[in-house]
Amino acid sequence: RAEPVQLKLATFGPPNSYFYVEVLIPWLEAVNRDSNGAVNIKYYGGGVLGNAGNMYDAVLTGAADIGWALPGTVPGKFVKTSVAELPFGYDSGEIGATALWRLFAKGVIASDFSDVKLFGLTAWPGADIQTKSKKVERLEDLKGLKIRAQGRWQTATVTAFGATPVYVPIDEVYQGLDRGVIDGVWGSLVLTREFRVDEIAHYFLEAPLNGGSGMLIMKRESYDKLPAAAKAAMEKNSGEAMSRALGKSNDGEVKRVEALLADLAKKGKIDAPYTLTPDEFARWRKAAEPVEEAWTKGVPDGAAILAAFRAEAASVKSGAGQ
Amino acid sequence: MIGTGSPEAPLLLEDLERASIALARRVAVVAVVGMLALSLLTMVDIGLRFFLNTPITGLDEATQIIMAVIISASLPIGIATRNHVTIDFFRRPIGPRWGAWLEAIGGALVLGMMTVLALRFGAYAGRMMARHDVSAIVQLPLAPFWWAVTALVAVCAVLQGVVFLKQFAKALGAGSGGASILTGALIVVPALAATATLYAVILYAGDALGPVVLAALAFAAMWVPLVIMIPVGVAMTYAGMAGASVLVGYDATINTVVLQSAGFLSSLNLVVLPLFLMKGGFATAAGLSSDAYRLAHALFGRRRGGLAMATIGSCAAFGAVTGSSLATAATIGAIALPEMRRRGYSVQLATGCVAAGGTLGSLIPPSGIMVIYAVLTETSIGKIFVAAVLPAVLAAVLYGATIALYVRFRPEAAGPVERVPGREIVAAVFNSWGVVVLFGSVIGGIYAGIFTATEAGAVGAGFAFLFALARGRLKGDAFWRVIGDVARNTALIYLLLFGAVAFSFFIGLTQLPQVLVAFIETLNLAPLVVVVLLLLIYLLLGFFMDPITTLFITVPFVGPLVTSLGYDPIWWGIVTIAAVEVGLIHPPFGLNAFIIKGVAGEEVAIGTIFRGIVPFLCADFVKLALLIGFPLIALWLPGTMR
Ligand code: NA
Ligand code: NA
Repeated sequence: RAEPVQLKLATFGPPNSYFYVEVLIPWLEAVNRDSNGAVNIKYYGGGVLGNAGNMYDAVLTGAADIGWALPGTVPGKFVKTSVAELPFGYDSGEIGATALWRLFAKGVIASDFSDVKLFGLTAWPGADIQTKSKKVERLEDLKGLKIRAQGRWQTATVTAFGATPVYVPIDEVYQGLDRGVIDGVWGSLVLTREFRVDEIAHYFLEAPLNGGSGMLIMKRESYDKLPAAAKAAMEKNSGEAMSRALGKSNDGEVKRVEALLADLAKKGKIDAPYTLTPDEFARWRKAAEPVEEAWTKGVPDGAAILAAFRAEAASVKSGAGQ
Repeated sequence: MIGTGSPEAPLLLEDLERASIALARRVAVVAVVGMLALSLLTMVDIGLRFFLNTPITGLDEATQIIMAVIISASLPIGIATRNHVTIDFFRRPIGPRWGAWLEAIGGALVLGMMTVLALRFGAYAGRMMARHDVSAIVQLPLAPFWWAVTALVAVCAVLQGVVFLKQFAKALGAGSGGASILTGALIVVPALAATATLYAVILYAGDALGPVVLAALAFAAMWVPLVIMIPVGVAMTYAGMAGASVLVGYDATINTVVLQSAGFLSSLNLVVLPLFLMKGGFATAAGLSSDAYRLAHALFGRRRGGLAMATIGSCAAFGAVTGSSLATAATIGAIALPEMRRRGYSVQLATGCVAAGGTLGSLIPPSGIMVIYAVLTETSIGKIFVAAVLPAVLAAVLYGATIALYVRFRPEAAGPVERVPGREIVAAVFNSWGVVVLFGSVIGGIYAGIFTATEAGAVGAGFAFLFALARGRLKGDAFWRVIGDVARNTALIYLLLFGAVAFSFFIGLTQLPQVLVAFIETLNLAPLVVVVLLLLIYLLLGFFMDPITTLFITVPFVGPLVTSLGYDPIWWGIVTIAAVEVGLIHPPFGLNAFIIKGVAGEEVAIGTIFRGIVPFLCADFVKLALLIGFPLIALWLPGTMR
């Protein structure tokens, strides 16, 4: 029988990050097993084959065969997929990831993926607002605050809400917040935990603000050349179920951080995390409308894509199509 | 013509070389003036943000991509003036004739590297253009910038072609002068044969050898050519690429090297480096450095080695606000070296002291590398910062003691001892107001939260420039001299980084660290032995990897192993970071040492610097031993936290 095809699966974050351990590595093991020796995928963590900024290119140029990449780092290519980066798009990672996959499966955003074979998508939990010394409860509270934001749609949203967006490299967020270069961070609790924002910030407003996506991909031509047994094993383990698992993995991490924050709050070290009142929530959604308009105007079929994403998210939330 | 014996071709080459240096100089001026403009713009942005809450949107991402072009524009002057790091321990026994041929070989290798890089950068830019890549926030099209980078790298290839022709002509014409042909042959011929054999084995049999043997062979393939004065960056690039291409093929290897190099050219962490070099250059031109050292001399001149100790103190002070070793070495190095040399300190002591002192930038909190460790191990950044305080104090004290011991046995290495009268001390204090303002504003600005440590590079460079301008110290040649130095040093560092990228990629592919650690785990050794072995692995990795890459590929599995032996992860973090920082100063790949080499200028051999570092390396080993023997040095302070 033929030797197994050797493939390298690359990630860029800390090699033991939760969703690598919970989803990506089990995926790799399942594919290896189900292919009956047609393929042998090996895991390369820690960014040795590509980093957050260049993983898409690393996959296209053959440094990695399969890569975990961020569509947001290739904004010229993943125009439609950036719908996930708008505020108030989805309530949880599971909803966002499943809805995004369905958009792909129905062809709504498929043109973004013309050069790659897509195995699974994730959606990062929507950004929360984590501030050091000012509790943000009303829209007006954001005025004059310097908030760390990243990427086009976070920056646009922070601006639309009246705060000042400031970019600080992620590994300087801790120091920046501590010293006061920034007053707060626009990011999900997943980020809180990874960069220890909880050691500095006191107030944690949980809201489904700007999200984002991640993808497990392979260069299309390389995928097409794989033996049928390998492709079948990959197909079997990929798609909506995998995307849902990726989103759920994010939600699990959020729950762990929430438990951590609850514990800190009990000890009196931080204020208990809170959410917006319904009235305030409605005002924030209204304030986000210009951002949505800017997005729909800039993307071909933007309005239809956004509507479809909202509809899929609602449908996933209500449990349809499970 | 008559009597020189030179045929016409070399004369033509002389003209060509002159023209290419002139061209490179012009490009460098554009680069550094651009860098200066960006610094001033960053200062405006910080002012707008702080006072009016209206920063310039997207300036940071524009800075990143513009800096990629600026840094590439610094490369031609480095190429044209042959500003490479070589290990020249054997220059004398090798002799001029062999030396000329070896230089030509080195030149050909650089030419090959720059040509391939230019072609692949072109492909990269082409891909960006085809998919209309834009920056995230302000939607700046990226392709034009990468085309500019490609063009500049292509200019490098052309200029290197001229350099190579010149080297080749020189080798052909080199007389047999001296009796060293035979001794030279005893070194050169075996080294060339060994290199050829190593490459042949790697390329034709590497597949079957397994990661450990392959890595060992590639390591040797990097080292052996260093003996015969092949530039360090070149030796690393070729050895790394040969090893990697065995594992993933040539195309994937070269594409990765280009991708990662592109990342290095535009990474915020690294683009501050030229800015810190510029800050040091302008501060020296403005006379601020001599002011500072006049004061240090007045205060500490009565003690032998006092200035060197004061330099360690400045590194510590600077390290207390920035998080980077390289920034500290670049800033303090540019200022301290000329001053210490002027006051009679030996090159070895002066360079060794600044190279080692630079590591205090990462050892004293805040520290970028500690943040990365904390992220990788899910420990508290705050606790690591606190835990690092006493070990950092220990490091500084040990460096001071090293200097005291060194000058005791080699009194001639330090300048003459001199008791400065009180009147002069007071005058020196008053004269150093400029230094206080410059460093006060940088240190104070970070501390007060007006700007980040990354932005501090731009602020410092801008302030130092304005100072020099206001003091009228940039007239005539002075401005161009600073520019030339900044560009050449930037080029020196980046030409090395290309090599580091290639070799790091290869080591990552072999998964050598994982293999070694797994092997250690199977031995069932006593915990202390395991810890010492792990430290040895870190020191070994320090030979060819930068600290951040090293942490990323090792900590996730070394951390749990050490914790499972019953050790505290915070303590292990402090030990690991100390070991990894040693890598910045030990040969042959020590970025701090190379930066100091750039600042010290061509006449100082890298070997001299590494020799100067040896006593400080000993201090580092003593510190590591103390940290392992007495974990409380790291754990006592965090234990007192609530
Ligand atoms: Na520091
Ligand atoms: Na080293």
